[in-house]
Amino acid sequence: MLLEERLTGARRAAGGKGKRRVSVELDAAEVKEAVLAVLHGERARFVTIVAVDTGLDIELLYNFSLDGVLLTLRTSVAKEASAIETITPMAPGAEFIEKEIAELFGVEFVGHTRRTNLVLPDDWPTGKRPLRKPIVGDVIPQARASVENLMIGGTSIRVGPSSAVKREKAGLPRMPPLASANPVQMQEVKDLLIRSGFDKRAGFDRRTGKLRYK
Amino acid sequence: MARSQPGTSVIVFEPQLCTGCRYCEIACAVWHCGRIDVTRSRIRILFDEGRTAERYAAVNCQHCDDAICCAVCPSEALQKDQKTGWVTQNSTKCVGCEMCIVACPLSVPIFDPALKVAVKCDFCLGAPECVKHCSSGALRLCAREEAVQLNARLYLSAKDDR
Repeated sequence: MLLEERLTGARRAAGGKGKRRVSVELDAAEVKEAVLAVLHGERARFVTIVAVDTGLDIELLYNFSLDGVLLTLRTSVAKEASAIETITPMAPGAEFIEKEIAELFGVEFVGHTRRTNLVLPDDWPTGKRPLRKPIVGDVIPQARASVENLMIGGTSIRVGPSSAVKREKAGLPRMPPLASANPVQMQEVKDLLIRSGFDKRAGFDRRTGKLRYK
Repeated sequence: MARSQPGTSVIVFEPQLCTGCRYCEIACAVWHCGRIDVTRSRIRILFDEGRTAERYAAVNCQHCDDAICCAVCPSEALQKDQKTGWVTQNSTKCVGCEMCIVACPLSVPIFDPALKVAVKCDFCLGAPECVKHCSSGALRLCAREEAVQLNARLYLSAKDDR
């Protein structure tokens, strides 16, 4: 696939069932370039954009028809800062779809020129988006602290130095060294979690060290 | 009757390319009314379930030479502009008699109940939105002379299909 050669972040995604469907996953920053590449030849035409609320992110599916094959460019934008560049300069037909998604899901299409509402009434409150759900992930409330501990320290239960003091006061023998006290081993666990995509599925924000939802 | 000057362009529709997405209707409604309300669109896409190919047909103003809508309009609200080739309508002159809708062979003008006048394609003042938003290229601008030949071929082939 030429797109995969041209864009470093592009990879063939599952979900394209049948010979006449192809699905490619992209980073949001690469969508504009990908759309340019797809529409470069005269064979392709823009079909539509579909927005799906996945709980943590808004998934955007850009559909194109390429000689009867439906090509889907899949990308996601985080709900906290859901913004992506507009594709209307390349595909004018996307103008109304983008505006509809902006109104209903609250995704900002940077560079989109239309300001007035198309679908919602003019006096609709700015912050209220009818099809946007609150940010929510798969981790149940009881397990959220454990998941945060796991991602920060590599273990679901952190044992602090106070435990050793309490044991000593109680007259118990000293604890054997815990695996969680070994930073090399814990780093390995964290790396494995990241490589398996656990952090993304759980909705863990590595920048803040917390889950993206309460 | 007023005729268009040579070199004017019109909108042509090629049914074999249309996918029935109706973006043209949306684009037209948004341009003229500021809302996605296809009932107020100046172009209409018809769907024929009985056909296996070329199922869609566009009903849009052909900006005719010898426009019959101009001829029947009692208030002279409809005028043919020779320079641009467009048949334009002056809403302030229109009395809402709907004669243009009856007289037009395609019934292109529509009656707008809110404005209480007939409205029709105004060519978006030179850059039709329906053509701009048609991603399949079924709607396109072409020279009037070419459009006459193309439409003659299309309608003759449609006649053969029956």
